[in-house]
Amino acid sequence: MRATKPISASVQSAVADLLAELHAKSGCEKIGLARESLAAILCEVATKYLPAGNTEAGARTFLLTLRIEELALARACAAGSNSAWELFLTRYREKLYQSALRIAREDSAARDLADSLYAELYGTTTRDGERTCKLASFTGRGSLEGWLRTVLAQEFVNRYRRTKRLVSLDEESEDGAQFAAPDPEPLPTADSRLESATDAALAALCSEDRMVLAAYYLDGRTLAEIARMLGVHESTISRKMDKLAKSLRKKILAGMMQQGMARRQAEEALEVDVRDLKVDLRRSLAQESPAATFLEKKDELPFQEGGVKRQKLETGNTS
Amino acid sequence: MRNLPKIVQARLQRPTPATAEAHPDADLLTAFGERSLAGRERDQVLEHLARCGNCRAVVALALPAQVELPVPAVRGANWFRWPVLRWAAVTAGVVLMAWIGTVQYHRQRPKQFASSAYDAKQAITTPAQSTQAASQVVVPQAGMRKEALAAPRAQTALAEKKAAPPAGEVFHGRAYSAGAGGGASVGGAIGRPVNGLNVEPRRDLAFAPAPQSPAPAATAKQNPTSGPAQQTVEVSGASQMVEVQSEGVQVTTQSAAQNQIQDQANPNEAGEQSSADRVGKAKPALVQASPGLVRAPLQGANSSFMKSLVPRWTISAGGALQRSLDGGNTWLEVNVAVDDSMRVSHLRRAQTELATTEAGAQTRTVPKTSAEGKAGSNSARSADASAASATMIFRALSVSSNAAEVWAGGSRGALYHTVDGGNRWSRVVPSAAGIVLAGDIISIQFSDPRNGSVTTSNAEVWTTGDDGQTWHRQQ
Repeated sequence: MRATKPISASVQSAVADLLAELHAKSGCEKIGLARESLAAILCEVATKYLPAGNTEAGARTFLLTLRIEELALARACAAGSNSAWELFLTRYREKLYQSALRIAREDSAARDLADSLYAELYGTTTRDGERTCKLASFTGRGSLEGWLRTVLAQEFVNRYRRTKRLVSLDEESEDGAQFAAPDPEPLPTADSRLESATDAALAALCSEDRMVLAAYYLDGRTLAEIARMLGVHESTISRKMDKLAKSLRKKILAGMMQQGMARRQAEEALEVDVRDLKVDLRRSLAQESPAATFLEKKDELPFQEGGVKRQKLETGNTS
Repeated sequence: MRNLPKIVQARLQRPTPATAEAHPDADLLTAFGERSLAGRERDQVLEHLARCGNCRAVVALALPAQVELPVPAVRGANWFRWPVLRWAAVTAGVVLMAWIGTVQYHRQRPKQFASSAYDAKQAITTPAQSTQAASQVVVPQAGMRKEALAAPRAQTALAEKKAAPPAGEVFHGRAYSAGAGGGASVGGAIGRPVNGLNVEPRRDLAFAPAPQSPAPAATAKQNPTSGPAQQTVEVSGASQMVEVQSEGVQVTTQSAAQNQIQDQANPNEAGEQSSADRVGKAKPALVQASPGLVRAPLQGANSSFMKSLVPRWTISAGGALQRSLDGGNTWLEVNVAVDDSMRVSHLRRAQTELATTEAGAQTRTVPKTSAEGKAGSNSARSADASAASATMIFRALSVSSNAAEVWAGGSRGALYHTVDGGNRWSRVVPSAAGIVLAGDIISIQFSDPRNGSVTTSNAEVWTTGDDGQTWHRQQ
């Protein structure tokens, strides 16, 4: 991928200024990367990440924070340097496999995952008749090892999602259909005021807090995992969770009362909708699949817990 | 699950369609996971992560393997680990505090006891601290005493009232009414337990009683009926420790009281160590007081803190000079004639019982002296002359207020003087115009370290104005 943005003058001057130093640090000679190519790579990376209108000082700082040696190695590999590949394999082959095993948690899947990544790294995939090497997209923002893990994880998640999608489609065809049609009458407890108050409270949170909440409540991550993701101590996250739960509750109540609900009413609304939440959740999940697909199947559905509702639903549909 | 409203989870999930936005590339996610992103970039990634479950999963999966920290093997009881040391330190602190508290308590208790006596007799509290203050207090006391003279009745009542069971109170009451004896005794009692205060309070106290001495005498004169009653109180209250000091009454009654007080106060103020307050000691008069009565306060006085290193002096019934270094429990005969080997006296540990009885007998000279004191005559004249024998018999004793300077006189003109508490004695032979004091000395009175008089059995009175260097004889 090539940088589409034009290279700004400040980046160019910063690169020119620091090239000698960075070149020496990167060890380009050993891996057969020309000084000019390094300059081009640096310009490309800086242009990609630096916002428009950055200063030269900002560019210099940015360039100095890059992992220049790993960047040079990755780009030399992408360019097909044998010595670079040798170095890369000695350093990362074992780690790559271990990371894959840790992510996939199963040996064969791990091998599969690692092999597919190797294929990408070697550039066996071609695009427009040109071999593309995944390493060419490495920009040295983080460590090469970390990048490899991230790429592995992305690959794993993509595959998992794909598999899950296949599986879940089947499941959805069975019991997701009942929610396929929009509920004719909104649930009384899923008060619009409650929803809007909740949304407002969530929107008022900072992105980190929302991320923590999502990771904990939606992804089911443990506090320790979240703490590691954010690089803080577990107890910090634990305290943050407690605080968030309390303040969210307070804010939602305040929001509802602002919308004209009595305090008691607001509290009840907050407590009552536990079961309806499930409905709500499922509905939001179901929204991912096209609703129309399942409409035909609705007659075959066994009438389960929501019998009355479904009857209403049916009458709504038929009419 | 924490107490988060379910609606929150629902609404969290709602904005899932974040797919329109491009996922951050692997580099940014890596940098985020490695915490090398900052500022705007980090916020953007976080914002995306808050909405994108996939990217959250990627970040979580891409986390480096957790470095397993080697868990230190649990060793056996290690007494030098910090938690243990911490509690050990706390325990040590508690123990230390308890120990200090105990020590302080034991140290404070006699002090408190003493200070109650001090409080009762306010004039004495300050003198204990400094000599200068002492003299200041003595003078008001003299004034106070004059008031007491005007109201002998109240005085007596006060004395009787104060003769209450608590030792300090008893002593005080006695000191207040009887003057010298009680006062000195209190001083001794107070001074002893507190090291370093030994000498000072005694000296001050010895002064303090001096102005008080006219009181009983005057009381006796103006109100004969109340006099004996009061004296009874004194006697019953007086312990053996009073015996020498109590004679101060005699001295001060003989001297012109008020001037004498000032004279005594001034040298004291100047810090003169050897006290001017010399007291005569007469042979014990035969007074019909029961020993039990005398002993009663002694029991209180014998409590541990009453022990003293300040020597006490007395003359036994047999005419031997005796000294006690333990507040009167045991009496040892003192050999004054070491230098001239007049008499080799053997040291004998006298029974406390005996000493007590003797002390009581001697103390009983006080009321008698007080009663007759205005004339300044020797009540000791009634001493049994038959006690004189071939060996030297002491009959008169004068002890300075700090008990260091002692004059002792006896048969055939024997007069001995010590200035170091009885360790070294020197014989003094008073002579004037070729006449040497040869009679039995029956009374020695020193009003201050320099001025004193010696009375003999043949009615001679020898006076000195220079601490015994030169003497004048008066018939």
